[in-house]
Amino acid sequence: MNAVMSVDNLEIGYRDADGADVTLLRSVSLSLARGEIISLVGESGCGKSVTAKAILGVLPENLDVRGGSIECEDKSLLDLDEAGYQAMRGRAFTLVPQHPLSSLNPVFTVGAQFFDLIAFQGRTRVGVIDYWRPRLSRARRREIRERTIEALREVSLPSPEELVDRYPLQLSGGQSQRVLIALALLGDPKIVIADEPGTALDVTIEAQINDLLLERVQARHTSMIYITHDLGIASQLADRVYVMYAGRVVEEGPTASVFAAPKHPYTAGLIKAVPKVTDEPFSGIRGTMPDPKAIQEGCAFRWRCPYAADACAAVVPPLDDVGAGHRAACIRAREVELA
Amino acid sequence: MSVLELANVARNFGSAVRPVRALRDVSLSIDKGERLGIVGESGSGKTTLARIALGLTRASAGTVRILDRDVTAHSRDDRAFIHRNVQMVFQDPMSSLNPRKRIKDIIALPLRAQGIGNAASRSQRVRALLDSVGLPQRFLDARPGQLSGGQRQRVGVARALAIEPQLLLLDEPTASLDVSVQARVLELLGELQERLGIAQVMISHNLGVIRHAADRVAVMYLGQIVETGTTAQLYDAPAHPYTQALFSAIPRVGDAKRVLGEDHQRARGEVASALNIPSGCPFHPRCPQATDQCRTTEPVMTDVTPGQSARCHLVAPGGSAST
Repeated sequence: MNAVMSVDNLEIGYRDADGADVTLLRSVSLSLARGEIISLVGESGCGKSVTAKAILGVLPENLDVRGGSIECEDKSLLDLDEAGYQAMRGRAFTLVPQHPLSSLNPVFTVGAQFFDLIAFQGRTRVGVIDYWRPRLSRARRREIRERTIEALREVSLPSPEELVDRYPLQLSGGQSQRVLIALALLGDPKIVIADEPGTALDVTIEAQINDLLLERVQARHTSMIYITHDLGIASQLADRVYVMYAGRVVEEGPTASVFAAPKHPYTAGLIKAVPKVTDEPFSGIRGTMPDPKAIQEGCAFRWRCPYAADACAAVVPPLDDVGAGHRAACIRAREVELA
Repeated sequence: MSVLELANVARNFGSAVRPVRALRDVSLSIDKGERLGIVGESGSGKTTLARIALGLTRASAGTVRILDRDVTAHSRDDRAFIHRNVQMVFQDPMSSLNPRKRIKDIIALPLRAQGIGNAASRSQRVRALLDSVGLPQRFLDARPGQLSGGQRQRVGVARALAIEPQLLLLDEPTASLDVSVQARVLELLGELQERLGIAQVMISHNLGVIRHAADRVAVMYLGQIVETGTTAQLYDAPAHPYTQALFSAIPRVGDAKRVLGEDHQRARGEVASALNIPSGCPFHPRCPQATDQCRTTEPVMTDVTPGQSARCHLVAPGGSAST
């Protein structure tokens, strides 16, 4: 398998106001093949967004990477400087953000937001002459405008010729998200990172957005990392899933096999907690996710786990093979039959 | 006796010349102890409906009856009557609890506002309420910031139950919670309904949540109820194309990977503005099955089967729009 990106044993943490050490990500490893769609699933605070930010090189300043590596296009991303990163953003990987309405600049028209990107993508600094060159050339302006309209048409926006001159406030949430997808795909990226792109939208619109993403990504053989808390969406979109809990990947594998036969009690509990549209019963998981400061030794899920044994407190369970390409971090994965 | 009864209720906002028609011709009734689910997307009028039931706004037309009392006039007495009998649990437990108050004061506030009991009896009631929503007594002196999202929402439920209301309005009470916690709050609501028999109106866009939190469901679109029926009827055989589109939009755990273009029930485009409601059936621009009749004539509520009705031309008695 030819990986377009691999994350290896990534560790991220910070020092809190009292000087105590807090670890947010613990030995997270991911791999992504060309044209593959993987999904990171988990509840708030599990580390899925921190992972995405680390890949994009936009971690908040107070967080530091304590170990591990991220490889993409034969480069080690964690060793890049800002200019090196900027050259890759939008081309090697790109982001479709979670909140469409707050992710576009409200004081520029849609067309203006495409203009700089088309003219200067990948550069960190642009001199005055370079800045004005495309703006002063009628031919270049027309060319950029046409490319913008083409990009808007590709994401099925109605009457893109009028839309270029609108302000983000004049767009609906669904339209804004389509514009953001068009912006993200502009540089023909190899990897699209989608961070819950539909959660802020209505269900019928969310379904349209996911259809669109899937269609655009498949048409270009782009790889995608889709972050979601919705197991149903992960089922429909992803080839493989990574289930995260308290900063660790606790289960990974082919989507169908993870959801049909989960091997980690957390995954099983999560599936059972989703209220189904059939009259199938559902039930929650007791307790809440532990404070990252409280997790030291042992399995972070043991306080909520119906199968916890004494041994669970002693060691951090490693990700072990439990099937073809399917791994789970539970020492009891082989002995316990999950209901 | 019905707890809440709306007959042909409409609510307009803004100018009389070009009103935003938030609710149009809405009729529904909820019996004692019944659980009604209201499903719809943003702008469908769910929240306006809840605000009318809560006495926060008046209806522009139609009649509103609560416990057989006509409160349409929305007088001071009417509102006081509503507040004694109807309570609400809000969507966001972070912003609906005063961060500077202690939990015991938050839960006791409705009792104090209604002048129920004295300090001692109120304090006893607060303890009992904490118990009934499954929170430990040590939270009495805590403040909302010390609680998790699920715990805060339990406080919201306890506060709503304090005055023993006849009707509980739940506006997306679990939308901001994680799934593992959401399930436990839903369990609590079901348990309370069984134990106390308070009628509940659950507003949600999540069809999975409604399935387990309602006996009857009303689906709203652009200010109208477009389909209503028992939960079983609606989930087994949705009749209105909009209801069908909603079901088709829901991804389920264990679904196979989507193959594009195989689903013909997807709603096209986006919801129209309530300022400019399409002619004929308001859903026709998005409906995959729309005919010429749908573009010109507004459909009326038609019975599909006893107990289930839909506002759609394609629905003939005894059948549903093709699937």
